[in-house]
Amino acid sequence: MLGYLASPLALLFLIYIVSRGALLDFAIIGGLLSVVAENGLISLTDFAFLRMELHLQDLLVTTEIGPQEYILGLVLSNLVFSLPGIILYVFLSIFEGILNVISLAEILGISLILLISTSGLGFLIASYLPHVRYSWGIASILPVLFIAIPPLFYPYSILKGWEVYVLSLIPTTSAAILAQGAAGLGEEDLLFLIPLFLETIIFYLLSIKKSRWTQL
Amino acid sequence: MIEAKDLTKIYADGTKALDSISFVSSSKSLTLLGKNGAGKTTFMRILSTQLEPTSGSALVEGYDIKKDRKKVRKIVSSIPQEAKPVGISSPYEHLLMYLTSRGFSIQEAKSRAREVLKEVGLWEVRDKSTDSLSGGMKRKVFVAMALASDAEVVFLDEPTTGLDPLSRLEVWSILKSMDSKLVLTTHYMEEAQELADEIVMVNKGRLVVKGSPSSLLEKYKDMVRIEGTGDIKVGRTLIKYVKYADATDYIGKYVIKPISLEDLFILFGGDEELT
Repeated sequence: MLGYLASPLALLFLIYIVSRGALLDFAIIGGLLSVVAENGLISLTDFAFLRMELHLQDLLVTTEIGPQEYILGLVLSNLVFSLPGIILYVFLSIFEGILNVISLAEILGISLILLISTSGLGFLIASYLPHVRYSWGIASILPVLFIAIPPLFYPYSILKGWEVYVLSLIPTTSAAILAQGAAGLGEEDLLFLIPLFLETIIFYLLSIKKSRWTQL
Repeated sequence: MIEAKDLTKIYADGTKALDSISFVSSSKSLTLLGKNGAGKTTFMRILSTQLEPTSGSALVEGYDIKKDRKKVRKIVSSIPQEAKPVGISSPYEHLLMYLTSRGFSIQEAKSRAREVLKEVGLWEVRDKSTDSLSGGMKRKVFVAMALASDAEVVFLDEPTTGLDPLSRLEVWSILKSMDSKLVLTTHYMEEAQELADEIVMVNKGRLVVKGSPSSLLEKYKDMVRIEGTGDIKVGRTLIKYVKYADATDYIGKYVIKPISLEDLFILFGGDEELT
């Protein structure tokens, strides 16, 4: 749990120092989303470990559990691991006066969708790994792609139009734009719900379909 | 009843793990024998619906493994050879997790878990993390899961590999007490002798011998194994089989042993060089 908090808190501190507090609100909202996204993405190491080291998936094939239940169970466990980080950032955002009840509910909703999306992607990638050791390398690359590059810790408005569209191929971009809008840190553009929902559905369905529940 | 018809499995890399295996078995305890890579685990994984066959079909208790996959999964319990317990969870938690995933209610699962943990001798360590248990106890957790499941057919892939003789005896006694039909793989001939009603020996994905241990040995009852000479090479040891009456020529010069299942393994389970 502390591991998941380390990099968002480090970024929060860095952004606070560099921007002299000006971008603190972005860092808090970004930190909340990054805790959730990082948890979902890095859990691919757990998925790979459970499948290839413990053979838990093989054990559960001959039960009433299907890939949907298995993946949902893993998403829920990620939620449990994300909770301390979520609580910390919710506390910070309320303390800083960034969020009210409605915007908080909106951002928590966005975070939940993001968790499903990133966990689905993590599971999908883990399904194709031939060995657990590959998961360690991939787990260190994905947070850079999904957290450092998209506008989680900076205003999305500084991106050019085409850059926003390209980056919205990554669910954290749409989530960050929606969250910044909900928190009043930028213009609220609900159209970004479409790519966020679409990507979540695609990652989730692909993770079920390609889960290798019955191997070929 | 287990029924396989022309069951073939070719993996993506071209390896032919099963080559048109066909047989019917209605015995209570079926044991698959064969050396490493012979196709035992592949066969077991196909029957328990974890793996799709390339061609052919199979029935488990009358249910087709492809068409009735859900029904097969409901009546079988399969413990993979490489399965390891989740280190931070206790034996009791493992049983609860497995039983609820098989459709038991929480109350039923708790009650059944308690009953089985006592039965297999894990009650004293029920709340300890499995990381702190010995290898034998860890394996017994999985045997307990299979036992508690009340599945009609239990597939166990090398259930006693790596266990000390005492733990192995304990696992055997648990397996023999089970009401479920057993399908297991093993490398240990004494395990096959102890547990199997019927043996299926596979070599290079093909069925080479099938029958009860006694009927298989019956064919060779007049034979003995001579070690130290012969045209069969097992490692550095030369072996030959001769009629009991002819064994007198070898007394004092070579080691003479009665025929056992191990000899069937040597004769039918080895590669071309051996036979």
